[in-house]
Amino acid sequence: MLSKFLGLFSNDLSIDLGTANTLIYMRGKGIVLNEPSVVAIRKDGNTINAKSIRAVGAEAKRMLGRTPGHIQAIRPLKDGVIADFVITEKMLQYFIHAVHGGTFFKPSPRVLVCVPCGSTQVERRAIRESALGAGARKVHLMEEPMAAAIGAGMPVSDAKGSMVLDIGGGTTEVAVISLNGIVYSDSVRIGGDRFDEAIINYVRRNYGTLIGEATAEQIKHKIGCAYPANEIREIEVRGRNLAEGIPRSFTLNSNEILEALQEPLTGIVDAVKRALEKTPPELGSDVAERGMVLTGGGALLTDIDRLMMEETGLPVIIAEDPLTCVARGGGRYLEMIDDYGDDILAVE
Amino acid sequence: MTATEPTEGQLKAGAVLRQLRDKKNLSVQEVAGQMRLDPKIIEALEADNYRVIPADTYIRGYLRNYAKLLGVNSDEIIALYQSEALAPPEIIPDVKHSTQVSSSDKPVKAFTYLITFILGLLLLIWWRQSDFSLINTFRVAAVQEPVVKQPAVETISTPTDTTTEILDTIPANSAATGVEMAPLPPELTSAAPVVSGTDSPLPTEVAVVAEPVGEVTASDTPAVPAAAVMASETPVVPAAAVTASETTAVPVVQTGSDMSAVPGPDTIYLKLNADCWIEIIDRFNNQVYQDLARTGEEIRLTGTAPFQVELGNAQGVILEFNNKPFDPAPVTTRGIARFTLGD
Repeated sequence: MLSKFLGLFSNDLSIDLGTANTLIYMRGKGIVLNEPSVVAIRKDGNTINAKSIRAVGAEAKRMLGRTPGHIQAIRPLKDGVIADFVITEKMLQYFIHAVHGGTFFKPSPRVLVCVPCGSTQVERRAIRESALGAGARKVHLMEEPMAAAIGAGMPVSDAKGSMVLDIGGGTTEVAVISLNGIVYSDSVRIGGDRFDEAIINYVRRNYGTLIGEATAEQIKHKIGCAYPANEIREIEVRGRNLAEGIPRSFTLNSNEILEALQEPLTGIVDAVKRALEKTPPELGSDVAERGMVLTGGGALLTDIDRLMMEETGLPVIIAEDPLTCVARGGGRYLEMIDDYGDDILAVE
Repeated sequence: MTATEPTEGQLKAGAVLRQLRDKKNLSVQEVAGQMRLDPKIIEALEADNYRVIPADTYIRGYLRNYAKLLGVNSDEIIALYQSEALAPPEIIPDVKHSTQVSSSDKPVKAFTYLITFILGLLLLIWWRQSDFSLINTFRVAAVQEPVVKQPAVETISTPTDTTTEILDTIPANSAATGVEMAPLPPELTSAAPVVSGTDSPLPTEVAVVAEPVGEVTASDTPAVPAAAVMASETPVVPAAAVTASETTAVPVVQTGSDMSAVPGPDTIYLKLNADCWIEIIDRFNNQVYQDLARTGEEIRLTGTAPFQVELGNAQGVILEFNNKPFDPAPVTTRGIARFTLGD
């Protein structure tokens, strides 16, 4: 009763609780928050449980790998699902408060959270509980590829197959959608984080140098590519030489990064091929005619559409603003929730 | 090669792409093959006929890919596409957002403050009222500060707006005066109505004296001198009676000009064998007595009949009305007796 009353004063939210970034779409307002899913925890005093939130989001991300003993920068999500329940709840609470900024009452919004289609019941329950714990009045869950397809503006309600490939921070989701429903979906735990890891491993192996996650991410953004290009780009990076134990700088080029990324990229291509194999023929022909749409941060990797096109022989297009597709799709659904009912929503 | 050639300003996206394709000597089939698309779609794109293509997102994607293939800036082609009057086919209809109320909206804030204010006001009113009713109860109980301090007698009077007047005269400094006061026979107190200081012929207001033996009831009157309690059976005397009888020159404070504190002609005597709630209302609707009387108390009341009597535990009370015993048993139900005396 009280929450219903308080709900009058909160806006419905669609949350893309991603491994790398959390995006919040507020009904009627659009994307209102886009922050890294990182929380910095400070330990107070000597007791184990005395912890407080030091920073959340971009500020906390800057602390990653640069913290003193009493501060710990945590990424509470791993592979698209919750790895640290309490911290996730705190983070969500912080974000929900942040987007409601300066309200009179405690915000108690209806929340739609996107979950990877490969997540287990336990993982979905954990996400639901943490959103409830963060102050949500009601929690709807939606499968990520569905949200991504809606957000990309694909005609999901048509009786035609649409294929979407959402490469996120922790997972890659591939799905074939028709008539507002998912015909086939698959989720592989490969994403931006695995790309970073692959770069770190490559550099350690070939240069005997250790670099941090932040540096690896920077390399990926600057010179990362998924398909051999004519033009070769270079970047200078610094890392700790394992043999000497001293930080050294060295130069990496895009072909090396392409080589480093081969393994995770192959995993994604395999998932796509598997999906095409298992798609019913009619829908398969639709997909072949129209092509697949790439969304998520991974779609920003240079030439990834080219790689997919060459590997699958299908037209591949990258959605406009791929980073926000999932949040926008969830938001779009929130706008229509009263008209359409909940047949699009994921069952727990 | 860039798409910023002078003629392009007037051209549509499709026409620009076709020009660029011709310059590169590519056929539609070759382009379609590289893009893995149906040649019909390429032709439709070049003809700016977007009806064939299912959704806006696909059109943009194909245009971008085509531009990339031809080596031009895809953003410029998209800008051309967007500038065209043709509205992209809307697959998912745009939904009007029903605007949601937020607590930072001004009307909501004003409304909240208003509600809070009204609630506060109501609370204040309620509090003040309960305060008043509390005061009234105290007035009935008639506990007042001593008004006049005299060497002989302290007279305690009750100025009330109810017609009930209970006057306590408490012997103060000297036990002697207390004793002197004491012999006042009870009959005097309950004697015929004596009017003092007023010429109203009828006793419109009645003074009622409640007098438990050996103990002061009905009030938490502070520190009644032991001498008075022990010596006297009537330490409480109506002021009017005192002045009338002229037994002692006791200054009496009159609380109002219309004070005609005359005790009623009828007496009720109650002796309690058990604790009992007693409530007695006289003819003029004055509450003569209302309290929980304790075991062993003896209560003598005067007033004007008829009395409406309510006894909470009738078995434990021996009742005399005008010195005649009255048995409440016939009017008792489940221990509670409600009856009228002196009808």
